[in-house]
Amino acid sequence: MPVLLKVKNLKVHFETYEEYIYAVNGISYTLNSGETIGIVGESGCGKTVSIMSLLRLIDMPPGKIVSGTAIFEGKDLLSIPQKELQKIRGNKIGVIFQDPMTAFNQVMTIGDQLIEGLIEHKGMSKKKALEEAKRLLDIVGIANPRERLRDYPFQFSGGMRQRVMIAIGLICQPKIIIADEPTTALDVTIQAQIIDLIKQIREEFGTSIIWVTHDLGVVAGIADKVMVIYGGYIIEEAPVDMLYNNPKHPYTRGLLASLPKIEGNDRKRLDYISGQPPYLNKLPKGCPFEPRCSYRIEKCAQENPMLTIRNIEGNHRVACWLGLE
Amino acid sequence: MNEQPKETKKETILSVKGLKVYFPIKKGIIFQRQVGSVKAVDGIDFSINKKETFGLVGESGCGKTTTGRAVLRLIDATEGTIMYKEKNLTTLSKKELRPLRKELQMIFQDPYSSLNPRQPVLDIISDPLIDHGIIRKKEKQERVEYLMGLVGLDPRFMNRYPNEFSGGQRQRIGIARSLAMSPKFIVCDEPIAALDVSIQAQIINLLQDLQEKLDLTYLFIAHDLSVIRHISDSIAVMYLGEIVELGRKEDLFENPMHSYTQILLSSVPIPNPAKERERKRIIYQGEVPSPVDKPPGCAFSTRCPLVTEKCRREEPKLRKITEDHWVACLKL
Repeated sequence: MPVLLKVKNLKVHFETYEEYIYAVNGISYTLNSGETIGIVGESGCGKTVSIMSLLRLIDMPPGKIVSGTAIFEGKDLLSIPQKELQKIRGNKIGVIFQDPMTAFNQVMTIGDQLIEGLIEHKGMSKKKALEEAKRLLDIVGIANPRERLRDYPFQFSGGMRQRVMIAIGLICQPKIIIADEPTTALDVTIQAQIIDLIKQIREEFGTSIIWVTHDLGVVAGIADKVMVIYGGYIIEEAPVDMLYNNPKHPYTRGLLASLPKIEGNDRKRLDYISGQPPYLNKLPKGCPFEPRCSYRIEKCAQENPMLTIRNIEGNHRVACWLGLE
Repeated sequence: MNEQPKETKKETILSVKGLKVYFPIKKGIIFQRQVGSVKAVDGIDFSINKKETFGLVGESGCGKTTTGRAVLRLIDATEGTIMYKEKNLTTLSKKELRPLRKELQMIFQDPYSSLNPRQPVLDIISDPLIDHGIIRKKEKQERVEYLMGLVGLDPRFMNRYPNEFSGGQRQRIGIARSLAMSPKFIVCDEPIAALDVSIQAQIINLLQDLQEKLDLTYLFIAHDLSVIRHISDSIAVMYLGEIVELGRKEDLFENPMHSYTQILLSSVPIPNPAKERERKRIIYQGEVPSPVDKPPGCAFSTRCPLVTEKCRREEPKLRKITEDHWVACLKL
């Protein structure tokens, strides 16, 4: 499988008057052609910032890409001139945001927004763009596409807006789709529809996907490979079955064990991780998870294992001083 | 609906019958006239056993939050009865309701907006006790120390303000506040939805421990089926303001009978890749109709895979299928 995207040592920090936030602290990974990576973590762990910065979609300032490269088709997305990046954004790399309301222009009809993208990126005539916009809405399962093109974003429900967002993302049949919690705000039955739609698109177009979420259930159903993020670091990375069947990092284990199960086996008390996720206004000397870890040894507070993420077997990497069995 | 199961005699603490909550839609600038209503809750019956957890589950707009608020009379019911300790809460005057309010409490979803940011934790928790004349000012500290201990918060922090605490800790403050009056019945309205996954388990355990320790009864409202399964004894599934299925946890999850319940269960993602791959999902298209414009007949008729003409004309009522398992469907 050819490598589509190679991210190396990405560091993104935020600097305001009041504080300095170490949001992303050295993330490296590769995305292969046709692969879906699930990036999992809780709020504030750096997962959203890490993918949004790939397309430089974070406010800079206060954000800044401190270091790192993201090589796509021989170019470093983090350093090429804006003009070149704009040709790639929305074209070769599409984005699906969590909240489709903020991603849309509220005073333009959905049709106009789709058509604009088609004219801009594909050089279509207005007439052709209209037909194509209708076809795209149809692909994403919106009934009466011709009429709906004339509607404004507020006239769509959450699920439908998400479908439109996917339609926009599909305009150029991107090689990569970056999805930032695309179904988190949706009801569970609508979420199932959207995930199904994305799977169909993936099947048909062979798109590679980077899917960011906090939902371990969603990841299990869509990802080939999973990366778990904590404190702005990748703490574990493995093919999906390996991660769920044999998690090696105490945090991953704790997270999986603390989920109430929908199918049988009602334990009376849930296993849980004590304490709370760190606030990233300082870089820990040792492991960022150490304060909450029930397996910690002295070394954990002294040296940060995140910096020497080790490959255990196959493609299973863990950042932990212990060799958990 | 108040038949008791044969094995253990359970005591009913709350019983709701024919509950309707309609919100009027008014038009007109100077003279307002009613042009329609939002039928948020459209005729539901259920009862809750003492010391149990009754789970109310459904997607957004199904009426579950409105039900929770109506039960505590935070909003007024349009129709129906809510029996608590042999009193009908819907007909009591404000004065008669007041002493009962101590026993009926609520835990809110959003730990960020449900705490007064200008009050220290000490006052947030003790104010209701002082207002109701249960303790005197000088007893505040001791009482709050006890309550904070109950919910796992360090009492040394009682003089801090909400913004100095994390989401999970704020939720604990909210829980301590609801426990202040020694309630018997607590409505938990999505108490963990706004929290990180690693914190959710802590709060779920806390709620269960407190239930055990203080003999509490919960009406637990949530959209997360895994959580509902874990914590509930009985469960009601709501759709467009109606209860479509109601039963004991095991029955409902082992043998879901209503199409909507089946679809709901099949939509829940399972954190197990092998299971996810082999699942047969029942994906249905379309969205929930608006509660302003409910379809005639069965509320679910516009999306049900089993729909017939009869379903579009007649409204199904909750019917008993087995002991403690009720379904509202014309086809069963």
